[in-house]
Amino acid sequence: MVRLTTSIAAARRAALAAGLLGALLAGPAAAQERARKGFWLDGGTGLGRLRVRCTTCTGVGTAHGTTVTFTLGLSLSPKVVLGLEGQLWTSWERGPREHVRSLTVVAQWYPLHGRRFFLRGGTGIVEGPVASSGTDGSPASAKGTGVGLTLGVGYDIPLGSHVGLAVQAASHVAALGDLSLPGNVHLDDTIAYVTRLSAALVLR
Amino acid sequence: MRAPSTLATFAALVLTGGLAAPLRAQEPARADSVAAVAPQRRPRPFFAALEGLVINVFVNRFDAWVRDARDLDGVAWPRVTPRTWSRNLSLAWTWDTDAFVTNMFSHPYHGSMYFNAGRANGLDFWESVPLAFLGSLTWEYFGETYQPSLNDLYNTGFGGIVLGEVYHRLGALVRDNGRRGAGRVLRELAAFPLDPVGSLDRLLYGGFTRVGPNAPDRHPGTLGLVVQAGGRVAVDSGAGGNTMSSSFLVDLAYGDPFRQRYTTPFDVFRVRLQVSPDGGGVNVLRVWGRLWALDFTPKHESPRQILTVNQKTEYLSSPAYKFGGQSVEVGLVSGFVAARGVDVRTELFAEGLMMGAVDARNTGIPGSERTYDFGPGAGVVASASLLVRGTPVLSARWHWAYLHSVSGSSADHYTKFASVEAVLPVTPTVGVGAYAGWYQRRSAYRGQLGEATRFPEFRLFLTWQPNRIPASDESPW
Repeated sequence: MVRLTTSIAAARRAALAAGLLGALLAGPAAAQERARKGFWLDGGTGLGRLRVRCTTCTGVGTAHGTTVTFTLGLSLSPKVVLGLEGQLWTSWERGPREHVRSLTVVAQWYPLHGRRFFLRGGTGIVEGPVASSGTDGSPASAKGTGVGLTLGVGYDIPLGSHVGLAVQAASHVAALGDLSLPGNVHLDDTIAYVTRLSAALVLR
Repeated sequence: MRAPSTLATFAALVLTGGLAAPLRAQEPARADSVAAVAPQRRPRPFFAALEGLVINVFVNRFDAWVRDARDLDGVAWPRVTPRTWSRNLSLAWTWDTDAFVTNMFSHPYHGSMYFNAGRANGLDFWESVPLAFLGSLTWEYFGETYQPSLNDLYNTGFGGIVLGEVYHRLGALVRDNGRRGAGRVLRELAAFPLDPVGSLDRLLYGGFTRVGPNAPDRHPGTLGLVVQAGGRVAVDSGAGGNTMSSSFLVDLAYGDPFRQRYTTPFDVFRVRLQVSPDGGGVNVLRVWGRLWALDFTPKHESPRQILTVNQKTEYLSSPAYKFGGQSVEVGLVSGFVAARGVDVRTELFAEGLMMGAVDARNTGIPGSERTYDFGPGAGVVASASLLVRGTPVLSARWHWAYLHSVSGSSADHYTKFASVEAVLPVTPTVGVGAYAGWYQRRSAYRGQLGEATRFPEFRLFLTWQPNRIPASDESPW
């Protein structure tokens, strides 16, 4: 895996800009609205960093890329919503083909009175080809399938009665198992995790 | 993650506090109640999160200063420093090499304390869920020198939710706000091992002694309790011979899906705990509660069909095999009245195993306590019971599970559990019974020959049923 010195600061700036834009666009009329009520969906994009670790690896492989997320959900109560989240992370770096796809059942909790700040977490299935550094420098990637756990925080910004914006930071930890690369290289007990900063449009 | 010092506490809890309440006269429950079991008060999420952190600091310092805990290599794992925190944050997740009992039994109990920090601070079930993961996450990064392990996050988080809600409800059942004097204090103390965080919270805020009304849904309405004591014969895979031991079992049925409409998560749950003191300690801990249910049929109709979603934690450990996991089940609970006082109940569930663990010949991490694989999977559970006046006289259960290993060996495991249990009532509360169980596992390894094993188990026992769930045509109270 190609190691880049690029900082994730670019991702942070993008998410911050999206959040500020949303805050500016949010009118006073929408101030008390909940962004997610009844059935809702959100879709968005962001920047993400993949880290890959295995028991036979000597280091942690890192790659940067973009994420696309889509979630369909319903409200259980004013404070708790449930959803099904699909996420695709794709590497933008040169080197072996890497992407991580996941389908996760998520719960989202609004602990504060304003119903804007939320915690999101869930578990589901994950698959994708990833590579790791420190085995033999092999540029290849191998596909694994397993289970993933996502944990994150976010902020809903209502823009209107049926539209909102959400900014989110989340980590998706995926257990992909043993992977085999060409040349009899094995990545044992591989864990890949994607940390993302993203902005999404919320419709309800 | 290492085992916090909770094993002994846990072993004591169901046999003390958990059994203390059912003998008491049953109070009617408000069927439509959605109130939390704890007395209502303004939720304090940040205080709950803070209590989770305090739990971590306490457990860590106890292990470091009192136990001077070290692993098999002599590493003092609780001696955390800013340097270990920084390393844990910079390195990615990994898998730990702890023993089966540590990962699959102790961690869910540890997680229940985080969860109950939320329940004790007025948060409802769903609001308390993130706290189980937050507590586990902070422990993994900052509570020990080891790198954070993904299996711990699953088992502490999901297992903690199941055990946490069960202990929270049992704790509320044991406590009685209306009592005074020694009886009150004994009840509060008996609830401590079940819900230590809730008990400390009551101690801090006066709930320990304050007299007042109980929460309206403190009692589930129906409560069934069966205790079995007898002998057990199981095949030992290691020695290749039979293992004979004494065996004790507790079956707890909290709530009855056929008597009460779904109100809140875990308004109905089941616990099966089997302990063989000289046969491996805790052999079975299976706890499930319904997360959601939809009744397809009117309350007094027969047959009844209820679509149910359960969350389950399971721990099976015998001399011959080990199996455990955190799962969610979706299926149909059915029941019909076969004759006056005779009920037949069946269950059929599809199971999603979020994180399971199974031992096999080539599994685990060589040179460590890990003799089992971790992985997600799927399964099917089917069961049927014949109940005479609320006493299960004949029960059969079948559980098939597939587990795809993502840590340990490169393998796919297929397991089957089948069991039959019969009880002959001698008096309304006492009977004699027999159990026959069959475990079968087939493992397919990548690049190696597969393996198939079978382990039978038999038990003969006396059964005591101090509290039973009434038959469908009986009045519950």
